[in-house]
Amino acid sequence: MDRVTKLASQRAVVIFSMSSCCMCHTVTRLFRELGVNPTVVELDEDPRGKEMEKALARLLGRNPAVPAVFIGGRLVGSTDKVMSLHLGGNLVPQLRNAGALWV
Amino acid sequence: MGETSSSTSHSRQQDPSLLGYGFHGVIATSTPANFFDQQGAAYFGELEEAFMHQVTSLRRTQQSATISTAHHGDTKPFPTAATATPTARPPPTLDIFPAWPMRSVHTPKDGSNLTADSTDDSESSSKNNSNHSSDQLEAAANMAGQFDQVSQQQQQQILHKNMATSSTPKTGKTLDAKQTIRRLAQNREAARKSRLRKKAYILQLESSKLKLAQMEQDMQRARSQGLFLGGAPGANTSSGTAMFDVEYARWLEDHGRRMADLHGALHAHLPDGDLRAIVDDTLTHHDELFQLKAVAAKSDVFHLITGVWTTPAERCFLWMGGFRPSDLLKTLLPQLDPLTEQQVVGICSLQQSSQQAEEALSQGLEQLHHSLADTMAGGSLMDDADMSFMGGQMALALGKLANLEGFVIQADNLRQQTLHQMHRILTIRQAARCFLAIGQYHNRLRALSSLWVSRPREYSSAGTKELLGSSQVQSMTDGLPGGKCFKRNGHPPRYRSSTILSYTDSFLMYLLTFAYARASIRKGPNSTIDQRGNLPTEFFPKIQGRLMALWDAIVTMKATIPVTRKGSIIILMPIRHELTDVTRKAVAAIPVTLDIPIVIFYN
Repeated sequence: MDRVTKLASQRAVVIFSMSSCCMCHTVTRLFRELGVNPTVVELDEDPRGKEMEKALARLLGRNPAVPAVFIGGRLVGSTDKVMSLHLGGNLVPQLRNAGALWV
Repeated sequence: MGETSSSTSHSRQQDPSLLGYGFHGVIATSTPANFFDQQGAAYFGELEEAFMHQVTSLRRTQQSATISTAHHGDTKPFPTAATATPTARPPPTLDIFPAWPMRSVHTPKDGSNLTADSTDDSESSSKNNSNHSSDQLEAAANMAGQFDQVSQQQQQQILHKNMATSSTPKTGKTLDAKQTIRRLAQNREAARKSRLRKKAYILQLESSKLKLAQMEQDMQRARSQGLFLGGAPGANTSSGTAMFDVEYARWLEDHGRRMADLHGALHAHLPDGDLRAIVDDTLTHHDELFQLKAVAAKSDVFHLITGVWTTPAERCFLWMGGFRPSDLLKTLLPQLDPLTEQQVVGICSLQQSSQQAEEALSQGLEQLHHSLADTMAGGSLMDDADMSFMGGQMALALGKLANLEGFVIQADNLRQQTLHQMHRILTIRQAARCFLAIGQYHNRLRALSSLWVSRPREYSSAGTKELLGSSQVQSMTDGLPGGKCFKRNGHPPRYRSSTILSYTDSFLMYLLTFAYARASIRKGPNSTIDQRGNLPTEFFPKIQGRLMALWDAIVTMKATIPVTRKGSIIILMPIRHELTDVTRKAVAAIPVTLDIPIVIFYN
C-alpha cells in the first residue's frame, strides 16, 4: 500500500496498469491524447505487483484493480471515473493543477 | 368459484335484490348529458326518496352484514366504485339519473340482452336507480349477466333494496313477493351465465398464456440457432438477450410516448418548472436504458455489439453497441440554435472530450483485437494436433474476450455522460428540444430501416426505374428541401423543414412501395399479389405496422408545421385505427403507372 502511495506521489499522473489489460491501454491512450505523459506502472512486471494489486483493489472497492489513476498523488478512480471527469470538463483543470499539463 | 356461488345463493335466499351500484362511476361520466336533455325535474323528488332509502338500508345492512364482499380482485370496467372500497360495500352514492320508462326495461330479460355496451347498461342502471321499483331489479338482472364482478355487490344490494322496499308502505306486498321471486330467479340465471362466461374467459387467457410461452420458447430457440456465434449459447444468454429485446421494445414504446408528451409540453408553453420535470424524467428514462444494456452486456455482450437489437439503419452507425456520442453532438449542434457563446463553447468542448474518449476506447478495443488474434494464432496453426491449444490458450482467449463487456459498458457510460452534460449545459427549453431532436433522429433511422426491409425486391433497379417513372425515382431519392418532390397542382411544394419532408417522404414512399408492389402483379411470375391486383391481407398488418410507426413520427412533427404551409404537405388522417382505410384509399388513388406521386388524405 505504501509502495502504491510512494509511486503515486512521484509523478503528476500515475496509472497502475497491467500489460494484458486493454482498458488500461485505453486510459493511457486518453492521457497521451490530452498531451500528458503518464507514468505507467505495470503491476505484472513489478516484483511487488501482487500486493499492490490487492491494495488497489481495496482502495477502489472493485475487483479489476486496474487501471487505477492517480493525479497529483490523489486517487482519481478507474476508467469510468476518468471518462466522466473528462466529459464534464474537469479532467483537464485537474491535470493543470497537478502540473501535468502546461498548455 | 364454488365458494362464491354458495355464498351468493346463501345471500340470495336471505335477502333478495338490489341493483348494481357498482356502475355509479361509469354512469356519472357517461350519461349526464342524456339526463338533462331527456328527463325532467319530476324525477328529482323520487331521487331524494330513493336516496334516503338507500342510505338507511345500506346502513342497516352494513350492521347485519353476512355477505362477504368477495370481490374477484379485478380491475374491471367500473374502477371508480370497485376500487374505492375494495373490501367494503360500494359507497352509497346515489346515481342521480332518472329511471327508464317501463317498456324499455321489460324487453331485456333473462340476461339475454347482455350485448348492450356499457353505456347502455349504465344508462339503464342509472335510470333505474332512482326508482325503487321492480324496474331496478330487472335492470340489475341484465347488468349482473354482463358484469360478473359486480354480481356479488349486486347480491348485497339486492339484499339492501329488498329491505328498503320492505320498509316502504305495505301496499302490494304479495305482488312484491312474486315479483321478487321472479327477479331472484332472473338474477340467479344471470349470475350463472356470467360465471360461465368468466370461466371461459379465464380458460382463454390461460391458453393464450401457454401459447405465448410456447412462442417465446420457439423464438429463443430460433434466435440462438440463428445467431450462433460460436460463443457459449446456453439457456442464460438466449433468455438474457430475449429479455433485453422485450425490455428494449417496451422502452421504445415508452420513449415514443414521452417524446409526444415532451413535444406537447414544449408547444403548450408550459412554465419552466413543469417542463423541467418532464425533461428530467426523460433523462432518467434514458438512464434506464443504459442500465438495461449493462445487464444485457453481462449476459451476452455480442448481442449488443453486433447490434441485433437495433434496426439495420441504426446498425450502420453502431459504435460499441450504440450511438457514437460525438457524432450525435455534431448532428445536434446546428439544430439547437440559438445558443449563447458559452453554451457553444461548452458543447464544442464536450464534443472534443467525447471524441478523445471514444478514440481512446477504440484504440483499447483494437489492442484487444490484436491481443486476441495473437492468442488464437498462438503455437502453430499448421499442426493437426491442436490439443495443446485447447486448455491454456483457449482459457486465455476466453479471458480476453470477457473484456469486451467492459468496453461496451464504458461506451454506454460515455453516452450517458454526454446526455447528462448536455442537460447541464442547455436551458430547460433547449434541453427539451435537444431530447426531442435525438428522439426524432433515431425515429428516422428506424423508419429508414423499416422501408429498407420492405423495399420491393422483385426487380432490378433498372426495371424499377422503368416501372416507376422518373418522377417517382426522383421523389424517392431527393427527399430533401428544395428537392423536386411532390407535384401538387403542378407546383413544387415548399417545405418548412427537411424533418417533415423526410417523414412524409418516408410515409409516402412506403405507400408507394405498397402501391408499387400492388401494381407489379402482372409482371412478376412469383408475385404474391393475386390476379385482381390486391395484396394478400397478411401483407397489410406488416405494412400497416410500419405505416403506424411512421405515422407516429409524423404526428409528432405535425404541430411544427406552420399553418400557412399546411396545404403543401400531405395531411394525414388523424385517427389511427382508420389507417387501414386510409391506406386503401391512398393506394386506390395512385394510378397504376405511378406517375403521380402525391396522395391526398382527408382530414
